[in-house]
Amino acid sequence: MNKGEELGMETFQFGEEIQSLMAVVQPPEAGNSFTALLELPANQAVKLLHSHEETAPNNLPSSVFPSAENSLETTTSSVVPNSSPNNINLVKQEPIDSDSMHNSSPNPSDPVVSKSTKRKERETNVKSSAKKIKSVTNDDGEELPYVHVRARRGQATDSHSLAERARREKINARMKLLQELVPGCNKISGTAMVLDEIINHVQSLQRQVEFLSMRLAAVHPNIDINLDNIFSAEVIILQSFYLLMCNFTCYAIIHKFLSVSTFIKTYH
Amino acid sequence: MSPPQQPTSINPNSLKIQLAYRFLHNLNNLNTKRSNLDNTRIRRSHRVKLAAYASMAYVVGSRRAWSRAILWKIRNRAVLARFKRVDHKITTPLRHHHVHAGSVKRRTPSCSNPKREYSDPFGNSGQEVKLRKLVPGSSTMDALGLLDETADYIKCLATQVEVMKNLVDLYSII
Repeated sequence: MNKGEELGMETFQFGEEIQSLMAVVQPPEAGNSFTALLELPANQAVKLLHSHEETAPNNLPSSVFPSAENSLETTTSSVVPNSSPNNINLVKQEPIDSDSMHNSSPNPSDPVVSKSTKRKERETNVKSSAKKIKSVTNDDGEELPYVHVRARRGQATDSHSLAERARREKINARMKLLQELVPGCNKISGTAMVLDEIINHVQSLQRQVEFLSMRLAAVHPNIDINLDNIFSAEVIILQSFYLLMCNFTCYAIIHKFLSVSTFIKTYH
Repeated sequence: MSPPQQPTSINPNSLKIQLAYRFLHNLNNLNTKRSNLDNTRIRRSHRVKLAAYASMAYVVGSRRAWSRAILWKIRNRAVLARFKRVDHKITTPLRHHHVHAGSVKRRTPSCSNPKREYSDPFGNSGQEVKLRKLVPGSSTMDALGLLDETADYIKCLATQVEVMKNLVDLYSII
């Protein structure tokens, strides 16, 4: 898988442009196309690579170079600044794209010419974000779990910051969950205030438990819960409890209350 | 209306029902076990509070770290009390499946990233320490797990409070 690896390393460097291209060519769900791209028989890719090395410089119109340079400037990752081999690689990725997309083996030269003229417009169109797949950080070449992180144009694309970004997104998702749990937290923006609210809420809940336990302890000695003798009283209490818990209709609750109270009053 | 029976639409697996049942059970045990011992209000309220937390932790079981921590604390209450008298610092229970046993130190990110706020949602305002003190058993996990545990803990606490409120209402009416 050396060739595939090499291909992967190159594409990893220019991942953003490729993804922007693929975004316009309707990428299917979750970057499957990219993995299909990588898994494309390396022979075919190599054949395309080799076949292009002679014909590419002739076929490329001059408009490709400035656009590629522009896109290169925007990426902050470590990108080799010389443009011509990059363009060749980029251009070669396109017929592979079209191959995987259209499931055909077209004449390599024609799509190159036609697509390279449109590429400039595509890159200007795709402004906001480009999907990036953090995949090729290992050199094993085995199947990795793909972490799909959305990398905006101009952001760092090395693996560390990607990992940080993924972790941050996980944390943000959990914070949203917490915001839903804590009442009145939806309007607050900013993690610090939300965390303050969460802490206050937990403290208030714990204080409520303590307060209610004090009340229950105060109420308890009046009611003898020593129910060794009669089992049914406990069952009735439990039943009425069930009803209360489920907010059943008042009619049933009142009835249960009456039965409970008669039972308990007999204990006095 | 039809004579009130136990409605069939109650979901017996819901958290509220389980908590209610367990809490009542604990209360009964509490009162039958220690009815002749010290019955001062403070001690009783303390015991009720323990029963509440114990029932809450028992219902959740071993699924969550906070419930495990509570159960451990309650079951080893006598041992911990002895330790408390000896030295004032109580560490977290040593669990065999936790790698860092009882240590509070978190794993720092191995890479050096210039943008600190990405990895540190809590900032430096000490909120994380406060949260770790509030949520039991949370000292041996990183920020992500802490948020998870907090969410579950809040949910269970809220249902427990609701159960206790209903119980108090029930008893106060009679």
